Amino acid sequence: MQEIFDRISQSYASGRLIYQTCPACGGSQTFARPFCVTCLRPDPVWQEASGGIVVACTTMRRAPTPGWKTRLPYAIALVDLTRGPRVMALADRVLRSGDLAVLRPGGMHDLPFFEPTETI
Amino acid sequence: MRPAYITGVGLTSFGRHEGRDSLDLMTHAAQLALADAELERGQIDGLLTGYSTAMPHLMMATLFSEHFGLRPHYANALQLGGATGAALVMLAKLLVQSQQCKRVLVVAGENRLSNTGGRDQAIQTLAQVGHAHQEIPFGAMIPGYYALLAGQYLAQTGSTEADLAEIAVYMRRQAQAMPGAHLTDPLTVEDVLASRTIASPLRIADCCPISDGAAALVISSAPGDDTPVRIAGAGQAHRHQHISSAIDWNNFGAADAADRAFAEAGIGRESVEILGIYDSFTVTLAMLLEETGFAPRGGSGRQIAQGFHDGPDQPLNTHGGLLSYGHPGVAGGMAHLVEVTRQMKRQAGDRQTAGRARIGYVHADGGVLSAHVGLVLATDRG
Repeated sequence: MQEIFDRISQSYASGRLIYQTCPACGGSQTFARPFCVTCLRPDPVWQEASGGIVVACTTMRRAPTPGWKTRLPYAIALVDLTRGPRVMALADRVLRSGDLAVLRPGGMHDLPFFEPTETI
Repeated sequence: MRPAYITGVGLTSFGRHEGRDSLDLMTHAAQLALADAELERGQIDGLLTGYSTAMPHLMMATLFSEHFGLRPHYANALQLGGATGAALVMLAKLLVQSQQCKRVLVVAGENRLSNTGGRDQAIQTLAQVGHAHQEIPFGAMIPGYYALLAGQYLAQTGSTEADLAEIAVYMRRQAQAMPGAHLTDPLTVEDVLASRTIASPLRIADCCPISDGAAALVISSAPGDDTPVRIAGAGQAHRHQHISSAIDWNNFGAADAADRAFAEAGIGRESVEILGIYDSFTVTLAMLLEETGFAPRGGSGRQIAQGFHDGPDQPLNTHGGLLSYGHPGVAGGMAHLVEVTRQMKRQAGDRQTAGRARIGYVHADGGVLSAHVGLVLATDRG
């Protein structure tokens, strides 16, 4: 699992958000694992997210750590990817449930960041 | 199946207990429950405990057992977040029904508020229910996870922030009549809506406080006094851990757990005369009340505002819930069980509901609507 999480952290650092799909059954999964949770076959393949529909977006006014306190207010969204699973990432505070959103190139705070878009 | 009864309850005040640690608070609640059950320590043959974020320990059950001077035949400590208390009572029921034990003490408590690091440390610890690599890195924490639920709830149902505020106001009113409640200052819908935002759309008044406190129950094979409260049914459901995985809006697991509990009890929801529903945030109560079938979808805030639960038919969280009686972790969810039991035994003093309160339903969730436990309680009083 460490190798998998290192890969995720590295992609996060450049603002990219990756997820896994299964070449065998076509399933996709938010949380990375060395197997497909739908069919249990090994070696799902990596895909890169681009955008999707906002499920919900919250603006944080209280932070969990001193590090995050310096970034207040910041927003977090859940997004249903157009061709993929539901994911969490930082987001523009203007986003509302049902809005279209895409990942901003380069991200924000060295993390993936969704911003509004007209089309995907 | 042999019956299992709640024969004793104990509840400390919730709030600030400066200088008292988890074992102190658990001891206090255990003594209250044993006295209520009219039992001596030596008669307890089973011990079930929760966990303490203020005193993390590999063996909380045996740690407390030694501290309190018990010699149980069976001991276990269980961890299901906010659902732990109800899950402990379900396990106690199973131990009694299987004749493994005759009298099980269930106890939990901690000084979550006054512990070193206090509220900030507690918030940081609780954030860990998020996914370590794919949620926590985004600065998410418990109110944020529930705010994402609240955002979905408002968008899906057309319910309003003012509807959620009604829930906080109702709990505060209940707590004002409850000795030992953490928060008792008057609270209006306007106050809730004017309170500072923690994670939009949730404001501070939508969130339960972090408290010190403890609770305990005794579950026995013998009915005890003349108003025995039987654990008629119990059910669980676990469909996800993290909010990113909770993709079925219509089924977080609450209904499944409730269905299993009612099926075992052989009792229908329409018979329920008192409710104790987990309310870590206003939206938690709204979603649980609706998914378990005790309010129409999107309608729980309005149902509460209209006074439905103030009447005798189906009182709800008459102790003030987590939102106002307070939340010291595992004991917070146990307070609902203590209160429903007291109401059913007609031992709720000035708060005693005018209704019959013969059938009770208690529901707790842990994580982010992740772990669900439902308990159907029944008295055979006419």
